[in-house]
Amino acid sequence: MKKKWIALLVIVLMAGVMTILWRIDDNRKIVFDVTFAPEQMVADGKSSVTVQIQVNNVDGTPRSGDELQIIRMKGHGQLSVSRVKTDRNGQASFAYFSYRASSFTPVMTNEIMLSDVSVGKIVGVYKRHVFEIPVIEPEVDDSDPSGNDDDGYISLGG
Amino acid sequence: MRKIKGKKGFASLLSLVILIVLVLSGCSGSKSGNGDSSPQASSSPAETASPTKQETPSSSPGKEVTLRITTQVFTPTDDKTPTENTPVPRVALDRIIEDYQKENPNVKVEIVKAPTSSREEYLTWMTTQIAAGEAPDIAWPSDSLQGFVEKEWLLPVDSYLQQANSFGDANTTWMDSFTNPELFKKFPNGSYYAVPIFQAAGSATTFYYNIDIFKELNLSVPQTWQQLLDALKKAKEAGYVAAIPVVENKGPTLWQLGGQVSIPLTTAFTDEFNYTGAKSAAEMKGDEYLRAIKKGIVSMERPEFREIWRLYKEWAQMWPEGWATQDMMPLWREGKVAVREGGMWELQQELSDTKRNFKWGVFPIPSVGSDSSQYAVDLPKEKGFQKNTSSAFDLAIVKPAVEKRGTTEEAVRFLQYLTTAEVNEYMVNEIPLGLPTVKGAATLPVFDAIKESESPVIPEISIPMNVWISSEARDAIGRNAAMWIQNKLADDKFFANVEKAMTEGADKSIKDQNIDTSNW
Repeated sequence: MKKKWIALLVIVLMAGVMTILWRIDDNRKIVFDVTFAPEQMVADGKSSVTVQIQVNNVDGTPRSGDELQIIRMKGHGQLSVSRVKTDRNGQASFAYFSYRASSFTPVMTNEIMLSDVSVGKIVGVYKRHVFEIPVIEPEVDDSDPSGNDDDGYISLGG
Repeated sequence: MRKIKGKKGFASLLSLVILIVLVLSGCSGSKSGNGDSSPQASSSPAETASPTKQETPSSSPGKEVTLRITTQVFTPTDDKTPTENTPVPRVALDRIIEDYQKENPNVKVEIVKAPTSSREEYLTWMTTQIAAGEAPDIAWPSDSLQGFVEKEWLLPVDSYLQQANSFGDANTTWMDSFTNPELFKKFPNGSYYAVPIFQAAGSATTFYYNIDIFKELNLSVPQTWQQLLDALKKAKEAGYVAAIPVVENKGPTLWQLGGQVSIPLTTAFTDEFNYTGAKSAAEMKGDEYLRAIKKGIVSMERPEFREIWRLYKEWAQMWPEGWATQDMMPLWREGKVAVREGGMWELQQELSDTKRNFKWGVFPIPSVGSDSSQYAVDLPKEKGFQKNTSSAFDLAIVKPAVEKRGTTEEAVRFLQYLTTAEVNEYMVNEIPLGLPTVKGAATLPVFDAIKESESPVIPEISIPMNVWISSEARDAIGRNAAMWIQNKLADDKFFANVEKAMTEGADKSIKDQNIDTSNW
């Protein structure tokens, strides 16, 4: 009988500790600020949108070194990366590439989710932020983006 | 018995703890999931006008047909909605099949899931399926297309390729609707057995490089093989790891032998090699390489072929000690490596590596030129995606399956549907792996940086060092090369072993495919 009570006490204690950890982790607030340019993407399969992200604590201090998972929730554009890390100013950026409109890939608002996987590690529930990129029909097919930098290096990342 | 009871007890305890935690926290996935930063405007996406869909001619009504297909990398994922665990679900093939079935109500297409963890596992699975009479009608012939053909598992598609795609331009043959005919592998018996679905962006294999190291040492992006070796020597002298290779079975990949380090040295033999006088790759008979080995045109006795190996060995001398047995990738991530051998299939993974702090890029494998060898010619260069001389992924029709079920025509039609421009573009571009193979299908902008680089123009009829002539030959040459580049095998012995492996590989192919050599 005594053993049963001890076991029950252990269970309640463990549950209590885990609940406290959950609450602490869940209550950590962070603030995402997302801007992108241009403000809409042309469905021409060539253009792209540069997305700038700012991640701060609620007191306004930047969160550096946070790893953000980027997930396209809706739409047909392509992410240049699936993960980015915030710099010392809490900033990160990535390119979102356009797609060519077709019956399989219609013109539609694309929806991107940022998931800060550096927060919520204890309980596995991350802080998320969803934003939309409007997509419009193409007009004239004349863009030709280049990935070369000034020194002739074919730069892709870093 | 007590032990089992103990396990049950622990499981119950754990379940109880989890239950209590859930109750106490009052959690709900959706609440926590949204966090404290709500979406700016999460209204449902507004679909606007979409282009007119390509009309698909309906097949002959009446006969109900079930097609079974296995598509390896294109197989739709179980999760259809993006999540942290499946950030990029594959759904394109589901949509394509849905669309096809709507237009062809008598056809049902089923996706058969096959093992994808290793080639061996896939081959074992396919062997079992064929033996049991349950093989899919359309399948990925793996990267051992030769083996599939030798086992007579695949249906030749030559006659279909010479006709128009049922869903495409009636004035263009199915084969001409692809970006270039070299994507089709022609077999020594003159037949084609596979249809290309996607091709590499640039070249399938490439070099990733550390731009910070290159800038620090004032190095330019190498335009020739010699410039690559010179750059690597400087990086090595500066204390960096000059280059790390990809390792296959504790040996080198030998990738560069397939083109850049062989073709510029063998152009003098082209006429001798092209014994039928073919004007294009499509006109070639398919048995040229086997004949070239048997006739001594491709021979390790020739100085040009020994030179190819010497140039490859110079590259291998840039690799660090332990390259064959140790994982060198951490050195790359730490910024200590100037160049690493890799594949374009790793691009997305590299782009998403947040652990790395240096600037990096890719450059195509530079060709050997006259600055490397007296035997080499300088191939012309052009900007844009390099023309691929093979595809990166094929689908083929499984002969025993379609013959047993009488589904040949429907299988061909579905394969034709998959290779219309719109469908091929959608299927291939769902996840950045490479380029579509069909003319008119758009490429992804993520590959534009590669399109901006210059690549050597490989002649349509060329002679590589084809160590992949058979799997046995590749294994034997790989083992010998690993020893030779580590100076554990003398030159003469190495060349003799390569010659023997190539000759045995050719003999096996001639025998297995019953090749007529009387016109050689």
